[in-house]
Amino acid sequence: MIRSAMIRILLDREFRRLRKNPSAIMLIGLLSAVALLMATSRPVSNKGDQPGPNGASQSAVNVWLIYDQRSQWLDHLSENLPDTPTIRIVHRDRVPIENGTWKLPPQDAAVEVVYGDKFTTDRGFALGKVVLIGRYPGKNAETLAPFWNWFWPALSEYHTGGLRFEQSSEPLNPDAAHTPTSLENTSVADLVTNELIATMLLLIVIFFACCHLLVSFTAQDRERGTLSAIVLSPANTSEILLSKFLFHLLISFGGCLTIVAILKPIVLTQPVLWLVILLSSIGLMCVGTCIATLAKTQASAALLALCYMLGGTVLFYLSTKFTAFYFIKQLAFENYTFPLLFSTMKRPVSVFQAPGLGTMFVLVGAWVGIARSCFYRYGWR
Amino acid sequence: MSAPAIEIDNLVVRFGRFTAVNDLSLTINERELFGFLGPNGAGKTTTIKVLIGSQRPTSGTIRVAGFQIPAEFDQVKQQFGYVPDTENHIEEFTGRENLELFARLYDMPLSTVDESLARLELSEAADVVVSAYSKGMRRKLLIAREIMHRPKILYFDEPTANLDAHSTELVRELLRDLASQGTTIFLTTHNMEEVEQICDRVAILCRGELVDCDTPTNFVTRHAVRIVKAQFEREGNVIRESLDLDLADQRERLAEIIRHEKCVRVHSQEFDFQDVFLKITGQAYT
Repeated sequence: MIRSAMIRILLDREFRRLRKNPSAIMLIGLLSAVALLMATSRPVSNKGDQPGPNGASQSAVNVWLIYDQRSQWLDHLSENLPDTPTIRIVHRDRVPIENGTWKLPPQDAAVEVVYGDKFTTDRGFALGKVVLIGRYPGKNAETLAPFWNWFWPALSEYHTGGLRFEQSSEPLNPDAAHTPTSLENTSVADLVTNELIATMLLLIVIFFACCHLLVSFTAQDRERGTLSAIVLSPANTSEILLSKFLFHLLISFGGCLTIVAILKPIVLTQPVLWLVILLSSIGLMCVGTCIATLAKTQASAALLALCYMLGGTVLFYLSTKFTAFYFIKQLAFENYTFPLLFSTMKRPVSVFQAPGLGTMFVLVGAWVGIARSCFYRYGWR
Repeated sequence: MSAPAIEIDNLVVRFGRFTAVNDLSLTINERELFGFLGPNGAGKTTTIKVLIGSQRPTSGTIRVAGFQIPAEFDQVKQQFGYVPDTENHIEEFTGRENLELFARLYDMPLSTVDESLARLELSEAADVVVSAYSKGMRRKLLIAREIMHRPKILYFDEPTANLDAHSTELVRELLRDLASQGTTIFLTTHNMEEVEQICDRVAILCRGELVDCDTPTNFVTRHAVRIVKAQFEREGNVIRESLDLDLADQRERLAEIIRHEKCVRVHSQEFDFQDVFLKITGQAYT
């Protein structure tokens, strides 16, 4: 039985404790300040916006994305087209042709989608290959930079599964000098968009509030014996756990609200954004509860939380190399958090359109069960 | 005879191969002030942990205030207070804030906070953060917290540890008061004087096994030594002799000393609970 009076008392205790330790949430203030600086300062001019050596404006081009066969990732991209550059996704048959070559308006560029043969990686991973051949007007391959700057982050939202994408460039007019570009010589900064930064900030806030802070506070309570004192009071274990979850959820929502309100207020009204924040917050709180419950001291709990974060990062990297890790990644609810948050940052997404939301819901549900049983068995003992 | 407040039957607690408590059976009556003695590692704290539900027993049955432990933990926990051997306050809160939190959890009026603080002579330090408290003050605050909701049963692990002479007497007086008002008190201590002074009954535990259980008076009767120490002066020298009155020749020797020597001091040896405790637990070790 959950008594609201108990929850109120315990929640009040958590807030009082925070008021006495305001530095505990300093990181959220710091991230909000970063968001504020981003929102109020002018972006550093992109080299892709400067005139090229041949005098052609590099950002003025319209891009024709030309395909032979329609696929899901193209559908995904077509739902996420940017304002600039203007991108038209068209079938090869619809491209105007003159004397056997494409007849595009002057200054327009083309990006041709070519499917390569399937191949097997050194690790036995079967992948399909997709080569995007950028064909730029004039002599400067940099004119396609705005397109690539949009393309790669937009593609990263999509679960490409067994596809490997490659990028190459060549001039539309074969007589022009060839100035190739590739992903390797594209600056990372060019790929980072405001939406990407906002998503990263949200992820940090959620991890900090729901995992790190919960681990720290709960482990401290266990180490000091405060938790056992409260468990021995009339408050029951469910009420204690629920009040902790509510407290950290409020901090997580408060931090996310601040960052979204500063960086992208337009998405504040998106229910999917809040649903994803809610699910990932609950999931991370469950992970944090298990860590705090199983660790003997606050210091070891903090280390475990750090290991969890680093372990997750390594897992995500290894999942691109080894099939076993790829399947493990599918079982991590965090796998769905980033793409979902990023999608909602970019455009309105309905609950039914958000891929992975159902899987995330199931995985978080499983974590709730694990955390509850962990806390009941070992939480204060 | 009052109803039992705590019933322990054949309690066994094992940690792997190590047996912390072995086949312990005890019955503690209501309003009783029960002392639980034993050397370090005897299993006293483990027994208390089982009684408060924080340690699952390997086997055996435990009933506290009529409720089965650990099955009816939620019902029984409101009936007892537990003063652990280490303080578990919320360090950032003041003494008053700590007590207020628990008063609200127990649904007690906030006036009980001031009453408890006053009873443990902590009113002046009530608004000081606990992290600034001395060890003795923390101990007293812990006791104040646990008596606030007027529990039926009170578990004390080392009640007067870290307390000065005045505070020790204050706490002993408080324990007597609580027992007279109907609270059953179960305390563990190493302080033999305390046991002798305040406990109605004492159990001695050694290596997880119950060695003896009786009233302090019976302990005195059963283990009293009838030894007289005589100190007398002869040719400028002070001579001391210890004489066992249970032996006829030594009784005669005492009479002779009194009759013929210049006695400086003759006194019986006082009963010492410490000695009895060491004797009992020492026997258990051999």
